[in-house]
Amino acid sequence: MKKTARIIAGKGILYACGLLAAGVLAVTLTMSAQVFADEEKKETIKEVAAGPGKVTFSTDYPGVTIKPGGTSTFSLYITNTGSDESTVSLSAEGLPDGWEGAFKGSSNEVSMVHIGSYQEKEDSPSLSYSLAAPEDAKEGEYKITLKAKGGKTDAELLLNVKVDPEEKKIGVDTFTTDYAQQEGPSGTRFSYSTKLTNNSGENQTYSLSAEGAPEGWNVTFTPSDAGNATSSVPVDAGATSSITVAVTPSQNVTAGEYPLTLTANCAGENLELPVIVKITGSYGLAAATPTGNLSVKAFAGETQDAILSIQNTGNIDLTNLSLKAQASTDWKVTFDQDEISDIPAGESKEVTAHITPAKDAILGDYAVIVTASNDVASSNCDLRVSVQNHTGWGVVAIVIIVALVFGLGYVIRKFGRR
Amino acid sequence: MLKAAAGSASLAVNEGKRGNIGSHSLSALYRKEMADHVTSKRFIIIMILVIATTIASVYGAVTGISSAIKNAAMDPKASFDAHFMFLKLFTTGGSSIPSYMSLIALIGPFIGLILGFDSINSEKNNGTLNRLVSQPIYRDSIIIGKFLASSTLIAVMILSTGIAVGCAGFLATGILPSGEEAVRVLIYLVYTILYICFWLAMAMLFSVFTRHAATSALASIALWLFFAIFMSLLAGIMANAVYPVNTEYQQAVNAFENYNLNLNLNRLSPYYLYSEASSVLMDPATRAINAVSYAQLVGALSGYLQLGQSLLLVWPHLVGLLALTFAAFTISYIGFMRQEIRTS
Repeated sequence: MKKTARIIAGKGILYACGLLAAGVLAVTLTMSAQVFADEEKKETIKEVAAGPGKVTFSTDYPGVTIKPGGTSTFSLYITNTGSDESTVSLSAEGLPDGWEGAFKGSSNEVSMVHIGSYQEKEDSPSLSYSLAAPEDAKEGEYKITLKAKGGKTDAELLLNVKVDPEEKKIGVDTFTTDYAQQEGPSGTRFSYSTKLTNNSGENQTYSLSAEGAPEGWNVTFTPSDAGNATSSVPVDAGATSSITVAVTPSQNVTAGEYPLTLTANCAGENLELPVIVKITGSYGLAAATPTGNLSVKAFAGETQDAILSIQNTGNIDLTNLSLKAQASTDWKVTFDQDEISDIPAGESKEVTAHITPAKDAILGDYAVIVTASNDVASSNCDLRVSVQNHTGWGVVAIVIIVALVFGLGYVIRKFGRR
Repeated sequence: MLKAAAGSASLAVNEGKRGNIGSHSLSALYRKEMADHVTSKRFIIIMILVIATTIASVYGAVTGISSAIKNAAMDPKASFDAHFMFLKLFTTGGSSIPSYMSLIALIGPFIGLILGFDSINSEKNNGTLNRLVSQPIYRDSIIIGKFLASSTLIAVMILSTGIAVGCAGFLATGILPSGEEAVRVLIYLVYTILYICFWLAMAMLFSVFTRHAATSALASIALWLFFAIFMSLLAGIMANAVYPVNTEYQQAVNAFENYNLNLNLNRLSPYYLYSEASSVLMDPATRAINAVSYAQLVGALSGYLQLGQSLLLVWPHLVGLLALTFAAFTISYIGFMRQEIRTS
C-alpha cells in the first residue's frame, strides 16, 4: 500500500507528510512555503490521488504524567488522505490491570467512528480517550496502544503514560483572596473577592460551596461576569475567574470569630480557601413596656405598678444593669429589683416599677423617665403618668346634694301646710 | 291678673278632690305665674337683652377665632391651640366684645334679680296676696310656685341661648362639637342656671323680708356688687392682715398661705365659685384650681383633663352653689310661712 501510494502520488505524499508534521509537531514553516504546499497538495490529491489514502490516528500530547488515581484525557484526531470512506472500530491494548479507559465522542462512550474522505485534522470528529489510573498504580511507564481497525484501515497510536506520585503539574489550580479575614458588627454583609485560576490544560467546571458556616448563615458565590449567584463556575484552561463570595451572618449572631472554608471542586482538584469572619460586639439596650402602652393611670399618693421590659438588642450579654427613675418632686419610684445582674444577648427581662405620685400632685399628666444602664449601654423609657382623682368624691357630691334636698323637704314639711 | 290666678286656683280646688289640693294649687299657681312673667314687659326687656348678648358674643367669637387662626398662619411664633374648638365659641371674645361666658356671668345675676325682687312684697302691697291666701290653698304653694316658675324661665332662657350660640357658631365656622364638648357645654349651662337661680332665691329672700320692692331691688343689687367686686378686695385685705407680705422676708414666708387664704375667702362668694367652675369646665387644659407650687409642676406634661376628672375638680362648686341656693330659699320660705299676711 505504501509503495503504491509512493508511486502514484509520491510528490503529493511528500507534501502531505510535511503538512502533517507541521500540524502535529508544530514546526514553524515559512508562510509562503506553507501556502504553496497547501495549494499544491489539494490540487494533487483531488486530481491524482483517487483511491485508498493513508489514515492517521494522532493526539496532541501522546506522553503524559499522572498521579496514582489521577485521570488524563487525550483528544484524538483521525485524518485520511484517501478518497475512501470507512468505519473503524476503536480499541485499546496494553491497558494495565485496574486501569480504566474509554473512548468518548460527543457526550457518549463510543466504540466505532466514521472516517470521511480527505478528512483533515480540523474535520476530525470530537473524539477523546479518557484514562483513569487506579489509586494503587505503581510508579513507572506504561504504554497503551489505541487502535482504529476496520476495512482496509488499520491505524495505531501509542500513548506513553508515566505514573509519578510526586507529580506536580506545571501549574496547580489556585483559589485565593487578598483579604481572608474580615470583621464587622452583626448585620454586616461580608464580601470576599476571590480569584479561581484554572492552571490545568483543560476547561474545568468547579462546583463551589462553603463549609463550617453556622446555621442561619447565607453564603453566595457570584462570578464577576454573571449577575446572579451560582453554585458552579466554568473556567477555561489557563484562565482566571473572579468570584465574589458574600457571607451574610444570621441576625442574632453573637460576637466572635467564625472560620469558614470555601471550596471549589472539579474533576481533578479540591481547592480550599479558609476565610475568617469576625463579628465585633455591639451593645444595645431598649427599655419599653411589654404591651407598648407607655401611659399609666395613678392616684395622688397611691402606688401604681407599671411593668417594664428591658431588652438587650446587642449581641453581647449585658451585666449589672441598674434601673433609675426620674420623676417629679416628692414622687417615689422603686423597682422590684434595682439591679439586673445579667441579660443574655437578644433577650429581655421584665421589671415592675412601683410609681407613687406625690400627695399634692395636680391632676393630669406627668412624665416619669425610667433609665436602664450599665457602663456600656443605656436606654430610656418615657412613661406618661396620668394623675387622677378617685371617682368616689363624685359620690360624696351626690350624697351631699341628696342631703340638701331632704333638708329642704324637711323644712317644707315642718313649716308648710298652714 | 292676680285675681285671675286666685280664681283659677280656687277653680282647681273646687274641681279637685280634697287630697289633691296641694299639687293642684301648686301647678295652677306655677302655670299662672309663668304666664304672668312671659306676658310682662319686664320679661320682654330681659329677653331682648339676652338675645342681643347672644348675637354679640357669637359675632365676637367668630371674628376672634378667625383672627387667631390668621395670626397663627402669618406668624409661626403665635401659638393656636386647635383642640376643643367648639368650646372656644363660648370662651373666645372679639376685639372689643366679651365672650358669651363672661357676658352671661355679668348679665345672669340680673335675670335672677329682675324675676324675683318684687315677687312677694309687691303682691303684699297691692293686697292681692291677702286674697290669694284666703283661697283654700296651701300657703307654701305660693312661694314654691313662684320660685319654680321663675327657675323654669331661667332654664329655658339659658339653654336656648347656649344652644343658639353653638348652632350659630357651627353655621359660621363649621365646627361640630365632639361628644365630650357637647356634654361640657351642657354641664356649664346647668351651672349657669344654678348660679342664676341662686340670685333669684336671694331676690325672693329680700322681697319676703322688705316691705317695698325698691328696697329689695337695691338690697339685692348691693349684695351682687359686694360679691362681684368688694368680696375679692375684702379677701385680699384679710389675707394680708393674717399673713402679711409687706417685706421680702414676709413674702418668702407667707406668700403661699396668703394666696390660699385669699382664695378660700373668695370661694365664699357664689360669684367666684361660678367663675372658677365655668373656667374649669370650658377649658379642659385647667388642671388645678388651687395654688400650684413649682415642685408640683416638675415633670408635668401639658395636656387635657378628661371630662370626669374636670367634674371631680368642680363638684364642690356645684354642691356649694346648690347649698347657697337652698339656704336662701329655705330662709325666705320660713320667713314667708311665719309672716302675718292677712292683717297687713
